Amino acid sequence: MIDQIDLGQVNWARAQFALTAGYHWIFVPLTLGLSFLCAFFESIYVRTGNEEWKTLTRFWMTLFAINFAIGIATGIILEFQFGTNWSNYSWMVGDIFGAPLAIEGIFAFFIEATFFAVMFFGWNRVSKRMHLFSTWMVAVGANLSALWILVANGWMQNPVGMKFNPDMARFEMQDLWAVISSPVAISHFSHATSSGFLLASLFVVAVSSWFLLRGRHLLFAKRSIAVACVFGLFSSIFVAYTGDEHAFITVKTQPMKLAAMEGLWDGKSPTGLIAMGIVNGNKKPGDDQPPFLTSVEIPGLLTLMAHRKFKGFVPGINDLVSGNVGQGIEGVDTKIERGRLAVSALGDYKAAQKAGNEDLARSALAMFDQNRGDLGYGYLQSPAEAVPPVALTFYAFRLMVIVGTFFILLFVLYLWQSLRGGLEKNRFLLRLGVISLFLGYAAQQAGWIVSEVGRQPWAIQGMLPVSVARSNLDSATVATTFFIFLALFTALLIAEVKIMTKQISIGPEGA
Amino acid sequence: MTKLVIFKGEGATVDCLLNRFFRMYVDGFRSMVLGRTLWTIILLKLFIMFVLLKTFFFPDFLGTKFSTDGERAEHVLQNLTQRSPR
Repeated sequence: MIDQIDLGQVNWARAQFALTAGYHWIFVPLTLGLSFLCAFFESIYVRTGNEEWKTLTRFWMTLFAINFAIGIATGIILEFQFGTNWSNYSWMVGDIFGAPLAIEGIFAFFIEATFFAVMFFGWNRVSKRMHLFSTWMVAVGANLSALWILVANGWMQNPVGMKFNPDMARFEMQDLWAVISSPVAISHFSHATSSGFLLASLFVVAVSSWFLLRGRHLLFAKRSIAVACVFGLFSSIFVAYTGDEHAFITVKTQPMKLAAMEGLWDGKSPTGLIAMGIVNGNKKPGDDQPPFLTSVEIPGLLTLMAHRKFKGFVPGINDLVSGNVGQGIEGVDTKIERGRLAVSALGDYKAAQKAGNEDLARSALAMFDQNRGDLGYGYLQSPAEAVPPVALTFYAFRLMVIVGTFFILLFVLYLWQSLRGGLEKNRFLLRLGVISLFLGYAAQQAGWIVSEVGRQPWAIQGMLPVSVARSNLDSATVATTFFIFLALFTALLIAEVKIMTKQISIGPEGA
Repeated sequence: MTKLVIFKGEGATVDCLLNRFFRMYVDGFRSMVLGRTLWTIILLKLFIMFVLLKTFFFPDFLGTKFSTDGERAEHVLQNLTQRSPR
């Protein structure tokens, strides 16, 4: 029996989730990074006893508070969406996500309720050291909160430490440590949080550059830039390192995503990396069309990224879709066959249990167990469905990498100018610093596009496609809430920008 | 060994500490300037999200349609076995 899949509803639900996550990630990375920068600034104040550093700390803390207040709880809407739009998924992962999200909630509540209050209300009330300790705890706590969310996301990209229970239709946790220590989860966490540090550094540089361009608060701005540039430079190098590590892991856990990121249709050994190119949007798996209308390739670099050496095969989309016997790669059609056996066996198991036929239930369960590893493929209509949107993934990846590399250069330039003196005279660099903040936000969004669009069609890699994860709702309902969110988040963003710019224009004295 | 001083000029008793923490919150909330605007935004946002959106637009699909976990599992299993294009 074929249930009609309402792709319109799935796409509205996906668009709504993407919109919410995209807006949420405007606020989160700044919170993650600015909390640490505030801790650095305050550490200098406590160490030197110089009241100017206290004023500086309080200014950046005020901006941190604005961002935190506007952004807080925007992520909860994602949880609403799980329950309404993605109820099958929500039910199936409840056992896996319950623990990480509960820990996140406890961390967030206790740290934010106690240390956050000391951080803002405790000036002149608690001792300097206690206040500094609170500021550090807010920074550590905010980043630990992110850990649990990213562990959950990492599990979706690489489902480990679980077993599917066919009686309850749930993935059940078998090994919490395997979930937490999954290389995908760790690399997600380290890449996402360090990118937050980078963005916050850009934020401090941009605001301080604006002060320098206006000829205001010169010493304050130069001090802020000096600290932010050091943090930003280390962060941007670490972002590049974790990004490379992430690609190295992706080739093993999500080879289709890596192939889409690189626009690689036919694997080679060694394989070059397309530095820049125009994707042929009409190309389909198995056809003879060229993958790019034009491209610039760096020979052997993709093999080096994937294998840490210049030898080795990197599978392309065609290899993964149709299989490559020579390289021992199974095609999607074989996985679809096994997946359909698993789905069929699941149905037989359920029917046999209802009928009270234990022998039939046992044999159906054995058949399911044999094929459960490819369960999700049983829901694909054709092998081509296993291919994510190539052009969007490819371009988003390039935007992230190119802009990320530029940031390393930008921080080096700023540091060099700061050390030489006369930073305030280099108006070109200062303007570039202001503009770079927007590039930073673009890179953040591009990173999530690579991560989430690149893993389509899966809600849970290989186990559950988005078309099955959804609820039985009509498109109009989901479309309506999409526009409500669009309005709500846009209003919040306008509020943030307005309050933030007003506070910045007041300057450090108003903190 | 240096003693960790929490409050400036703190007394030694737990009651005193708790009282000072309480006063810090009360005085902190009272003396907010920008904080008032931010709290207004937070409360308005939470009202919109939890009272309006959650109640009228985001019911828990399985929670409202089914009363037991067994029924929920049955519904999801039905979706899992019927959505295959086989």
